[in-house]
Amino acid sequence: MKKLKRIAAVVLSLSLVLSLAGCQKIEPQPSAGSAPAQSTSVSSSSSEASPEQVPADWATQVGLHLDEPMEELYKKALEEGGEVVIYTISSRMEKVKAMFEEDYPGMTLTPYDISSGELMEKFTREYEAGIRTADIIHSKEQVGEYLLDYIGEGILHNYQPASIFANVNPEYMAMTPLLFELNLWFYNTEVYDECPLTSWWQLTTPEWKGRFVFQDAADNMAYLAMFTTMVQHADDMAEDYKNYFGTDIVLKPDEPTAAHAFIKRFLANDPIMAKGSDEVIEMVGAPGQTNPPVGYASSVKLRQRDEKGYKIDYAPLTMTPSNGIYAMNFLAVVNECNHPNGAKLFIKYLLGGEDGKGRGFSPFATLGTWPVRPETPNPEGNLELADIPLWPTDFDYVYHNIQDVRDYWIAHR
Amino acid sequence: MISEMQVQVPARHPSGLPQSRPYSRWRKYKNMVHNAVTNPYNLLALAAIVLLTYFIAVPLMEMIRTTFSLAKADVRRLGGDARVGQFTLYYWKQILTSSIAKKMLYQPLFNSFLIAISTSTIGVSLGAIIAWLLVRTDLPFKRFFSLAVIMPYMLPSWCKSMAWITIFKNERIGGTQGFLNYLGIQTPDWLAYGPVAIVAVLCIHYYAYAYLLVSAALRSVNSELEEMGEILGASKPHILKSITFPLVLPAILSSVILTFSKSMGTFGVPSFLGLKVNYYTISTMLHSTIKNQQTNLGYTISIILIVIASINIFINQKLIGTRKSYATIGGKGGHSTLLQLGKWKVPLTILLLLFIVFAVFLPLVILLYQTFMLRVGDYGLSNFTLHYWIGKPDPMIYDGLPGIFNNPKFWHYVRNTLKLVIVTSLIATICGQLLGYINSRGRHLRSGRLVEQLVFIPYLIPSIAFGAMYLSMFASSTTVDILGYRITLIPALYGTFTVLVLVSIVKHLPFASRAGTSNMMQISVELEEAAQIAGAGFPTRFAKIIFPLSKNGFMSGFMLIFISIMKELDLIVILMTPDQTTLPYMAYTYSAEGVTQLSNCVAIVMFLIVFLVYWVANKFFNANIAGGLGG
Repeated sequence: MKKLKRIAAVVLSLSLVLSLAGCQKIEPQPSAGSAPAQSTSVSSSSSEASPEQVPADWATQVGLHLDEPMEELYKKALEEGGEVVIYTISSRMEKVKAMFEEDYPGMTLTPYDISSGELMEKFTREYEAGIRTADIIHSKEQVGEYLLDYIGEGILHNYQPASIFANVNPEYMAMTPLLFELNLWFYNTEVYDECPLTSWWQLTTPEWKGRFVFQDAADNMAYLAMFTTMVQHADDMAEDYKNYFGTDIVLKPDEPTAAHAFIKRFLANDPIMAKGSDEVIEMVGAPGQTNPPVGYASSVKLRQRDEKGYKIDYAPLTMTPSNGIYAMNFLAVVNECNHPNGAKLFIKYLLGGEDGKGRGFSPFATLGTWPVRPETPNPEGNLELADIPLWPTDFDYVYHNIQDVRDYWIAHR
Repeated sequence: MISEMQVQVPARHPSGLPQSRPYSRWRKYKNMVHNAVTNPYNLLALAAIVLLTYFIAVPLMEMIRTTFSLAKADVRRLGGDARVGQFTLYYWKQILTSSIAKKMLYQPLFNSFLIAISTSTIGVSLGAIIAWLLVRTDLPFKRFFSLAVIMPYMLPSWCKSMAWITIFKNERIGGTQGFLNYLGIQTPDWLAYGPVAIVAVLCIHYYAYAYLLVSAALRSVNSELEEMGEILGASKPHILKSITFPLVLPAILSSVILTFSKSMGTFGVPSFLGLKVNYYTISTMLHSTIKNQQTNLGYTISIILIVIASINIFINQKLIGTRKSYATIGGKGGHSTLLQLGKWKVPLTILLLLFIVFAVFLPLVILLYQTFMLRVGDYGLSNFTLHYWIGKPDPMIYDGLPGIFNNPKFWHYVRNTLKLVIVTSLIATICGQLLGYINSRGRHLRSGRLVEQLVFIPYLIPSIAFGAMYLSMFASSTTVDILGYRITLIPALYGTFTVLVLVSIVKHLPFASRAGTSNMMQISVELEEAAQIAGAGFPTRFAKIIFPLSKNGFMSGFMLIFISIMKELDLIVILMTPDQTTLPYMAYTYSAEGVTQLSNCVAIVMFLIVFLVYWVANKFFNANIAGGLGG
C-alpha cells in the first residue's frame, strides 16, 4: 500500500514536470491555415513561412481581385459565419460597428482598438504563431514596413475593387487607403489672433525656447518618418533657412545637411516632450493661459475645440517649407483569415459603399480627417488637402534611412 | 539536523521479510536509488529545478542569444549580405561604443544610478526610522500609524507621480493649471519635473519596503538585549547605536538592495516626471526600445541591467554575509519594553502625522478630488461633477466616454483583474511555500542552493524585459518529434490568459519563495522527523504539520503578492490583449489619452480593492505583509 502511494507520488511529480509540455501523436497534416511548423526535427513555427504556401493563391482563391456586389458579399459573409474581426487604431470603429450591424442584420463586427505600435507587434506575433484572429488590419503607414514587409511578402493583402477605388488618385493605391490625417502645428487662439509660427526655423530661435510641445520622435514612428522625409528634402530646409534668416545656413561638422542642423538646433532649444497628441493639445489649448506653447499634433484633434473647449487652431497654409507628411490610414485583409467575404463587405462598407454616400465612413468624416474617395464629401470646415504644403512620402527612402535619423535624434536629444 | 537526502531509513526497508543472503552490494545500490527516488525532498527539488530551468533559465538564455542575432529591421540598414538571424555584435557595439551610446546607455545609466542611490538612501532611512518609532517606542496611535504608513504601497507609484504633477505643475509645460499655480504660487522647474521630483515620489513609495523589512526585524529582536545594555548603564543613543542598529543592519541592507533594484527598474514615475524635460533613465530607455520593436537593443540594455543588479547583490552579500542570516535571530522575548520617548513624544508624533498627511493622504485626496472635476485644472465648486463615476455617455465629454460604473468594459476589466490576481497569487504562494520547503531543508545541499539561485533570477530582470522575454518565448510553439510522437516543448500561449498568469507567477516567485522560506525556517525539522518516525508520509506531513503551522505565513505571502500583482503594469503590458485588459492598464491608458479623471477613478477603485482585501486578511487571518516580505 505504502509502495503504491510512493509510486503514485513519483508519477504525480513527473506529470507535474511534464504538465506544461503537451504531448500529442502526429496527425496527418491538416489543411493550410493552421500553424506552419510541421517539419521533422526540432523546429520553430516562427518567422519563415513555409515555401509550399504561395500567399497569392489564397488571395485569388477567396477572390480578393474580384469586385462582387455588396449584396452578394453579404450572403457569402453570412454563410461563413457572419463575423468580421478588425484590429484598428481608431476608437471610432465602435460607432461604425453599431451602424454596420444595423445595416447588415446577422453580421457581427469585433473591433480591437489598440495603438499602432502594439497593433503591429500583436498582429505579427499572432501571425507567426499561426493564429488568425484578425480579418482586417486598420493602421497607419509611416515607415514603409507594412508596404514592403507585409503586403510585399503576402502577409497582408490589398483589396481594391474598382467600384470603390476607381476614382482614387493612383498615387495612393500601393495600399488600400481609407483616409488621411496630418500632423500640424497648433496654436492657442485665446492668446494669438493668428498662428505665430510660419517656419520650422522659428523653433530654433531664443523667442521660442522651451515654448513648443513635441513628442519624442524616438518613441513615435510618425514623427520620425517626418524627420526622415525632412532629411530627404534637406534642400527645402536650407532654402527656408535663407528665407527666414536672410543668410545661407552654415553647417557645423556634425550637421551633414540643413535638416540635420534643424533637428540638432530644434532639440537644443528645449522642446517640451508630451506623451501623445492629446497631451500636446491640452498644453497648447487649455483656456486661461498667458504664455501658451505651440504644439505639433494630429490634425484630428481639432475636434477637441468643441468637445473639450480647448482654444486651438492650426494654420498649415502659411507654414514653410512644409507641414510634414501625410499619415495614410490603410485597410488590409489578413492572409488566410477566417472571414474573407466579411472582410471584403466591411471594407466596402467602411469606404461609404459603392456610391460613396453610405454612412459607413460618417464617423470618420470630422475636422482634420480627409477621405480618399473624391465621391465622399470633404467634412465641413476642412481645408482642401491639396492646398496644404506637404512633402510627398517616399516609403522606400524612409524605410532605408529611418534608423539613421533615429540615431541622430537620440544622439542630440 | 541531518538533511533528508542523507537520511537512510533502514527500519523501513523491507528487511523484515525472511532473508538469509548477506546484504549484497546490488541491494545496497538498489536501496539507495529507491530512497533517492522516493524521498520527497529530492522529488520536489528535481521538479523545481526542471520547472525553473524551463521558465527562467531558458528565457534568459534566449534573451542573451537574441542580442547576438540580427533582426529584420537592422538587416535593411546594414545592407550587403546581412541576413536575418545571423550572428552579430551590432547591438553590443551600438549600445557600448556607437555615437548614440552616450545618450542610449551612459547618460541614462548615470541618471538611474543617481535616482536609485538617492532613493535608497533617503527612502530607507525614512522607512527605518518610522519602523523604529512604531515598533520600539511608546509613540501613541500606533494602530492608525501602522496602517497608514503602508498605504502608499497599495497605490501604484505612477499614480503618485500624477498627483505630484497636479500639485506642482507650472507654466513651463503649459496646459491646465497645477494646484499651487492656481493658488498663485509659482513652482520652480526643478521641483516640478526631473530628478528631484522623481526621487521624492519614489521615496514616498519605496520607504514602505524599508518600513516593512526593518519593522519585521525589530520585532524579532529580543528586547532583553537592549535591557541588558540599559542595566549596564548605557545611554539610549548608545544602545541604539551599539545594540539595536547592528541587529537590524541586515534588514536595512536588504531594503537597500530591494529599493535600489526597484528604483533602477521602475518605469512609470520617471516616464511621467522625466520625459517632459528630456530626462531619461535606463528604464525609460528600455521601455522605449522595446515599444518601438527594437527588441534586440532592448534586450541588450536589459542584460546590462541584470549584470548591475547582480553586482549590487553580490556586494551586499559580501557585506552582510549570507542573505537572510538575520532571519535566525533567536525567538521573541515574551514581552518587550518600549523605549520612553519623553519630551520628544509630542514633536515626533506631530512630525509623523504631518508626513502621513502629506505623503500618504494628500496624493489620495488629490486623485479623488480630480475625479469630481468636470474640467481638469478648474478647482472651483462650479466645476463639480459625478460624471466620471456614474455618468451616461455624453458626446461632448471625452468623445462620449461614460463614467466608469456605467462602462460595461470597466466591469469586464474588474473581473479580469480579480481573476488574474487571485489565481496568480494563490499559485505563486503555494509554489513559494514548496520552494521555501526546498530552500529551508536543502540549504546545505547543492540542489537547494541551485533552486535558490534560479528562483532569484526573475528578481534581477526588469519587468518590462521579462514580459518581452515571455512574449517571444510563447509567441509560437516549439515541437520535437520523438519516435513518431510530436511533443510540444513550448506551446504557443501568446494571447491567452495562461501566459499572463505564468509570467506573473514566475516574476513574483522570488518574493513568494522568500516568504515561503522564512515561513518554513520557523517550522522545526524535528516536528517533521517525529512524524516521519511515526510513519507519516510526505503528503500527510505537509497537510497535517507543515501547512497548518505555516497558515499565517501563507496568508502574508499571499497578501504581498496579491498587492503587487494588483498594481502590475510593466510586466504584463506587452502580453496583454484587448480582451484581457486589467485595471492598471485601463488607468494607464486613460491617463496617456489625457482622460485624467477616469484614470484616477480606476486608480481609486484599485486602491479600495487592495485596501479592503488587506483589511480582511489582516483582521480575520492575521496576515501581515511584513512577515511575507521580511523573511
